[in-house]
Amino acid sequence: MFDKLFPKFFLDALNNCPVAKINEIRLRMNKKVVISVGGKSYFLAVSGLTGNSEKAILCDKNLILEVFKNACENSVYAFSNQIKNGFITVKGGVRIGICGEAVWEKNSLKTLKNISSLVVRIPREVKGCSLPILSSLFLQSFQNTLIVSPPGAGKTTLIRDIVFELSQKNYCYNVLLVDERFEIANSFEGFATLDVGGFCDILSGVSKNYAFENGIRSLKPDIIVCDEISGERDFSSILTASSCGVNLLASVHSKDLESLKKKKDFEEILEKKVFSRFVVLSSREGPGTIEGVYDENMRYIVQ
Amino acid sequence: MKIVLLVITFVCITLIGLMINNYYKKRKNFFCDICEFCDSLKVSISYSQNKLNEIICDFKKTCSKEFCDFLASYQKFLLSENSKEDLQGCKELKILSEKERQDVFNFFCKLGSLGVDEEVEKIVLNKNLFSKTKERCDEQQRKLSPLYIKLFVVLALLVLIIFL
Repeated sequence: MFDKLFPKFFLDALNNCPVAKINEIRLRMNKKVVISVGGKSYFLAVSGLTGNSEKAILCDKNLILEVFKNACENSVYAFSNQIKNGFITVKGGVRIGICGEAVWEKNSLKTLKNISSLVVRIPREVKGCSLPILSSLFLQSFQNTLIVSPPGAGKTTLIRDIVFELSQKNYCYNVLLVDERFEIANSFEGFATLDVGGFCDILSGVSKNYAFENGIRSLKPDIIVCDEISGERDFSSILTASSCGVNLLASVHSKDLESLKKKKDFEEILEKKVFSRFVVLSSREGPGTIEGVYDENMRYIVQ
Repeated sequence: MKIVLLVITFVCITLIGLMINNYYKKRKNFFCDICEFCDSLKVSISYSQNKLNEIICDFKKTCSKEFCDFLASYQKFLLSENSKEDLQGCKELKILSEKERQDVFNFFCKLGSLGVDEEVEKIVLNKNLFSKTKERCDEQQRKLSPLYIKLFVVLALLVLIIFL
């Protein structure tokens, strides 16, 4: 996964770490490299993980540029739109958040320059993680479901597994997966590199607005799945889709249901009871901790 | 014995003429290919936004051996942890002059580092530069290639006549 991303000295250091458990690698210009393993942060030293910052590897400009160049596969133009949105997704679903200076042209963001930080986030396929709650998402048929979770608590992993289990259990729903940031299925050269089952049509790299409008018309889905809804446009797309009789599975960044109620522009969705199931996640006992499943009146169904 | 030696000398001198002809032909083909590569890049980048490596892999199927070899070494450069100096090594194209080598180097070492519009703009500019060189190479090949072949055949005949 990291072979084509990091230079050799960095790979050697990573090989001394529990690679399979790494969630996140943070590269900040002229700062020590930080790695998150199982929700806890450590420095990266040549010998592996350490709590001692003096032994840690220093991230210089060259390292950041090298990783950025490798992530773009020497084709920055192919990632222009992603860079504008502050991230790049590489093969295997690894998402690299980018920090730098914004370049504006005619009131729109053109690109990011002078990149100063990269956050490498590694997706995890946790097969079966949705099984404890899957049955509660059905009431004769699949119910519109919203996964409520703070960042890094496993909402994308849960969404992916729900989609996978829908086909595993032969529900035979036609699922339209709107993979705006290539994180859920991570399609690479037309193939999903992460397992989303056999009943899934994947629209990658498109806005939810476009996908909802055109997908409903041309692909006739039973369920539309998307990640991280935010902003008025996304909410409006959700309302449109729900009024078209298509079921929804989406996620939103929020700490809990109370915070969700206070979310700007979200009142209408809650008032109209677009979602009949809310799955609340947290990192309390590690990423993917299910705090509960709630119905449209926000009453506990499963805890 | 003498006749055999003279025939060998005749063939060798004629071959030198053919090699010079080949040199001009290779130069022309190289710049034809690089211009076509620029067109291919322009279309792929502005339309499908394929990655550089994919574009190169597709193009390698259709180009001359010299350019194909060059692209292969360029791909190696892209895949390894290289500095610009390593590209210098892969572009030791003996058929090009120092200035031409520098132009090719400047183009390839910065390829893929910009957004779509800027990249296309840069490709068009470079294509214009390579087109001019291609025209010059074409003219050289048309004028000098037959001249050198004739010259060396005449030279070979002269050697034959003198030593017979």
